[in-house]
Amino acid sequence: MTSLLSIQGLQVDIATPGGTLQAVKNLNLDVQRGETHCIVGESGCGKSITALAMIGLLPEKARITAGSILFEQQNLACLNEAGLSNLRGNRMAMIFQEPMTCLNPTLTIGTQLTEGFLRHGKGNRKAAYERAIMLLEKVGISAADKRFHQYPYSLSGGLRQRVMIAMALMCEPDLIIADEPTTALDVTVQAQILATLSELKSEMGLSLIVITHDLGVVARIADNVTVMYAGEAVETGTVSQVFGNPGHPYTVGLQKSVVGSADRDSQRLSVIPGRVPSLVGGLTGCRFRNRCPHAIPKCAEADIDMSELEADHTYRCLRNVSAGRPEMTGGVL
Amino acid sequence: MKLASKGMSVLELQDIQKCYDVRLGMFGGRAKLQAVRDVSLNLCKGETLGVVGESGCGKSTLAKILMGLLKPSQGKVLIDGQPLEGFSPKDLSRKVQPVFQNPYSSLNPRKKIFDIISMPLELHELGTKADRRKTVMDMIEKVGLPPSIAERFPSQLSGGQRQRIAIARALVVRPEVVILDEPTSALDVSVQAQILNLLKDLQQEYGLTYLMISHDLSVIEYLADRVAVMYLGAIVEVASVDKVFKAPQHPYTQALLDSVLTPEPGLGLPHVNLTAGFPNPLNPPSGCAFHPRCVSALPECAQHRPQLTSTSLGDVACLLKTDFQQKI
Repeated sequence: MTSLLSIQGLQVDIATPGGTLQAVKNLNLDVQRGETHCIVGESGCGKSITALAMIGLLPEKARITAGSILFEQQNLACLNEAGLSNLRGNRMAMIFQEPMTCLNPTLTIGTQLTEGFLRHGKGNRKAAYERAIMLLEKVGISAADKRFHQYPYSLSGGLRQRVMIAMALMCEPDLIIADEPTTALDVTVQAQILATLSELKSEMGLSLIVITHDLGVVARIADNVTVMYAGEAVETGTVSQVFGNPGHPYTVGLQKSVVGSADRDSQRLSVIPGRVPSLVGGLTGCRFRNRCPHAIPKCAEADIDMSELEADHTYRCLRNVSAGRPEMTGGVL
Repeated sequence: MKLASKGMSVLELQDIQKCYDVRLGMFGGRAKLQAVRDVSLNLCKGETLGVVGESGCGKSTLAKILMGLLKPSQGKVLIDGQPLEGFSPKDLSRKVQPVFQNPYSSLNPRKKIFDIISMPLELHELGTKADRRKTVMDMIEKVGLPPSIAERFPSQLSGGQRQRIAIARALVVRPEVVILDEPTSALDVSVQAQILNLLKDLQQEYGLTYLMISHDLSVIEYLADRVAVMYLGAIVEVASVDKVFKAPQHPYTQALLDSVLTPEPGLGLPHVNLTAGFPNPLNPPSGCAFHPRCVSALPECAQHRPQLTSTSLGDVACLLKTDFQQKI
């Protein structure tokens, strides 16, 4: 079966006053139909730039310099603006992080919901209205016909994010990219929004790419996970593989940094020492080596390829190749 | 029984109320929005009190009242037993200091790090110039940063480093109470752990009292000794961290705990027992403010407003847990 979305060797460079910044380097990613794929990493790891590259909304200074993004066999990396805008909001849609700022405050919810539907010629105004009401109800908004005529300011953050989800679903897309969809919301609302998103996904047979820094969200909704660090994918596999048997020291460190109930009794939380290297200029070798407790001189010599840990589970590290992995089990990072 | 009674209280809130005057639209009338309702709390020396609740529950209003930035409509704030009104802003700032959520906006971008940290010392005219220099450099070391950082500007620092500077600036005048308003929610996971460790170390070293506002229950569980849960301006439960996390009494606390997504694959999404959405604070529900969302609400809940009552498992404001059970 061919993937719905297949990214091969993607490289995105950003021009900065200090030189070229390699925001995404040699990224491979496959998303099947009906799959939920989470991209997880910390700020500056390139996860949002990857999302923007997929949907063709990269900022002016950023450019795709190598690789391909195949969406149903069509290479988005060399598609022109007209081609992209035929896909955007139609076959693929995006949900952004800040529901407070990504709705236009001067237009009603209804106008914004139906705009894409009409623009892509999916039907007349009546059909658009009916679909919008149907979707607003589906995402759990009561009194949908009333909400349709309201402006964004009269809606809470949770409701606005539901409107964003309904808007993304208007043209029956095949793929939804959600960039930190619940980060700005309360915990109680977060669980509800994620549940709505997951239900709609299975009901409509969509594929979902969720970009997040929250390992809790990843664990609960993902089928597959890609962990990114400093512009590179460092580990990818199914959610149980990556959480249960992490191969890369960064994944291990990230997991240990999450504050959990067990930490209450311990005086100190484990941390990843140091900070992310600057991505300006050429970097060779492992990008995590300066913060890695298992680094060896060889880590600096050449770029490291992904190697297979088990079926469908790859990671970018020279160490811990054996199954026992003695150097990975001991100690706090 | 209050856990707080064992120590000396440095900060005490007595029946605090805060009403805002809100205009309803451009031509509309005015309405009263009660942001904080009957809040009584005390903070003992050296403890950490966590305040949790959803956006709009009044936790930030409470913090602003404690910092003297807002006057309560009714009620009293006592600092070391003295009423807050008796303190000038300058005196108050030596007792209570804030650390804000976003270190990208809480530091002046045009000032060097050294000047940012030494500003409070200059305002309070503490020590000679040489003394101040030493105090600032010691503080930079205490928050785990290299001395060279003193000559840099905030824009040259990462989020975690900036939050360390914000902490250094708060502690340089040796306050008794630090108000931590979501101190780690703008930071990455790995950096969050570093800052939490730092806050714990500094608390022990200086005997600080923390009031920590957060929506992240795992952070509260790690750092706090006691937790106050707020809902629509009122405290619905106060108890020690162990009690709140192991045996939550209020249905709202239970729902909050159920919503936490721990990184365990295979569990799926939790079913959160909350029926309706967050109520409109301009038109709060009758009786218990939580009853429209509560799965175990009884008809009585819509009529009687439950008071915060002591139980063996902490203080709770819920008819089901207190009045109702006593009647049976």
